[in-house]
Amino acid sequence: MTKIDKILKKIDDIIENISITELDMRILLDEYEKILNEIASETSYEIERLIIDNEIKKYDVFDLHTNGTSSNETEEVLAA
Amino acid sequence: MDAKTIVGYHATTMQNKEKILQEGFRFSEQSRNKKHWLGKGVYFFEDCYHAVNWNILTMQRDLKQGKKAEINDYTILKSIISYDNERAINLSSPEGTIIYKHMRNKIKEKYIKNNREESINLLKDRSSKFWIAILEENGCFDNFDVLIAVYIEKDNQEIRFSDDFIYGYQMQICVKNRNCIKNTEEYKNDKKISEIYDIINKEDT
Repeated sequence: MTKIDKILKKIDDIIENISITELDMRILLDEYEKILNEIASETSYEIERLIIDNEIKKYDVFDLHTNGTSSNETEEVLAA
Repeated sequence: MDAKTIVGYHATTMQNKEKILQEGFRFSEQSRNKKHWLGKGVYFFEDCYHAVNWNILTMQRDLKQGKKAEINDYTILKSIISYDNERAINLSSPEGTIIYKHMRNKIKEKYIKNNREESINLLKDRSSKFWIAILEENGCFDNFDVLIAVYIEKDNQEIRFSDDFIYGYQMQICVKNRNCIKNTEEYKNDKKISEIYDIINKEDT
């Protein structure tokens, strides 16, 4: 077995054991943030607020899964 | 073990330099809406040029935000990074690309198998940063100490023809296992730094 095959095998084992519910939740949360980020770049504050409020209602179940971690960027980050 | 040693340059403030030299690097904070493009880790540039440029950009950002800043408030740390190449992926290499695409496709397959089409659409047109975050959160990088990739500045992506070459790229090293970082010291090669300033000034004109 080559080095790359060994790596791919390990990865397959890891992915095999991922809970699909957890994965689903993570992907949806990222999508929710993508929507918020896109909206934040729009110009009309009122429209932003309206859509954000609606999206929050739609996704508020996921708020339970965010732990309120800060978004402080430190010097170790080079590219966002 | 396939041992490998490289030099990495880390741009930082004079204030943080003291902390880093005394206590070592710490991982930057990450949250859901602030993820770093190669995930959690300590980031280095392979080329000192980008560290100098990073400090200039940071100073400009700080001044814009009304902070008092001058170039002497920032510095560069040079670290020796030693790692087992079998526990490293260069995502921009042919081998790294195979591994990354394999991970991404396996996750996609698993997700698609279990979800409706409307959910599957969420995976379309997502950035590498999105996928790195998903892969990292799911433990796909647990067996790796170092991730390396080429970052291309958006403004410099002017590839139109097959024989155009890429410029404005920067090789970045994300060290996920801090034990791989050895011998960190302040980079004080004034001659080299002054040459880089000269290059940056020429680019600006």
